Amino acid sequence: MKPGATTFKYENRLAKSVVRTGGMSAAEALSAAQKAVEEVREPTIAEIDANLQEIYALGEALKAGQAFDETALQKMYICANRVVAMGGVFGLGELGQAAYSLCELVSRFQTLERFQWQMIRVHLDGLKLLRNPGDHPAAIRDEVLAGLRQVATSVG
Amino acid sequence: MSGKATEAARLNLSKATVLLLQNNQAELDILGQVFIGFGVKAIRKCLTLNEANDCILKGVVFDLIIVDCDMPGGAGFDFVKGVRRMEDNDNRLTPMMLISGHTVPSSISKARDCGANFVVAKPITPKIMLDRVLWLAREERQFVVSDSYAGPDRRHKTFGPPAGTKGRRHDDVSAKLGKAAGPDMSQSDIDAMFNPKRASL
Repeated sequence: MKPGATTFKYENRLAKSVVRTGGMSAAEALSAAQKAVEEVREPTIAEIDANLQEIYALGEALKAGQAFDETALQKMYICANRVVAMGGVFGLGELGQAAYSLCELVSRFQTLERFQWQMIRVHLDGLKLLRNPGDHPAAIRDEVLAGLRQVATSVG
Repeated sequence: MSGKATEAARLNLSKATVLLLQNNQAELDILGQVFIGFGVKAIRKCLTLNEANDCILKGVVFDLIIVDCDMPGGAGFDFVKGVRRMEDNDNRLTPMMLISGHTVPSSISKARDCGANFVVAKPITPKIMLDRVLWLAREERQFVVSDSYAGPDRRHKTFGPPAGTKGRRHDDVSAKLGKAAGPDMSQSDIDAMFNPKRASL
């Protein structure tokens, strides 16, 4: 800290929400929140699928161009990051992890200003597979995720 | 916070006011539903920086502000930084939580230095959010204002300045012990420094 910095105690307004009596227990709050979140399950799953479709379409464009396309990669990053945010809320946590790996890959491509379609392709395949996790044994899903992470972190 | 601490806690957020800034409608709806479940009645959901700034400037004092890191151009970081610098606005002291998906390396230092209380990784499930809200409610770090930073002390624990350095705070004490300044304390002196209470286990 630079000289001249001031420090002071302050009232944490949120502190009064933690109570000894009344209100709701953590279990009640969690149960109520889970129930409330369920109300947006359908539109959220639709949003996840819309983002996946956009990722696949951008993948096709990148495949056709076979060149570093900053705009397409940035759009792909944004869509994948939305899947990261929403997947895990409704039981698609592994899909979210695959999307995170795609974000990492795209981020590294952006830093290096280069691009390899095959690395994108395996991620798109992984996303398609993990969109329906119940169709594949857990061991295979784990292998897929480990492979994707290995691909993404090999860049750079 | 440990799971046991969360389980034992009781929460009354019915009078709390919460601001959510998130530029994606679906994510904003999830967050909103989580807080509805927690019993918050006054939730202000903002999709844009302008909406959020309006809320802050209109005089509403929030008990909690949650901001998405993934807004274009680092807008979320700038929002937090801006609010922390509003000297005549009570919201500058409001607990602020950043939520983040994938984070590019250039954003890590921004997240640390913008003045948020802490960053939570997406996906935001009710369990994660409850843990963090309880954590924030028990926050006791001091507020720091300097030329380059305004926000809660970034040191969660105070271990004193690094070995060999003098420290930059008036109350910094070196971790290195000097020679004893007087005779050893007696056991009864030491016992008198404690105030034991019966605990229910």
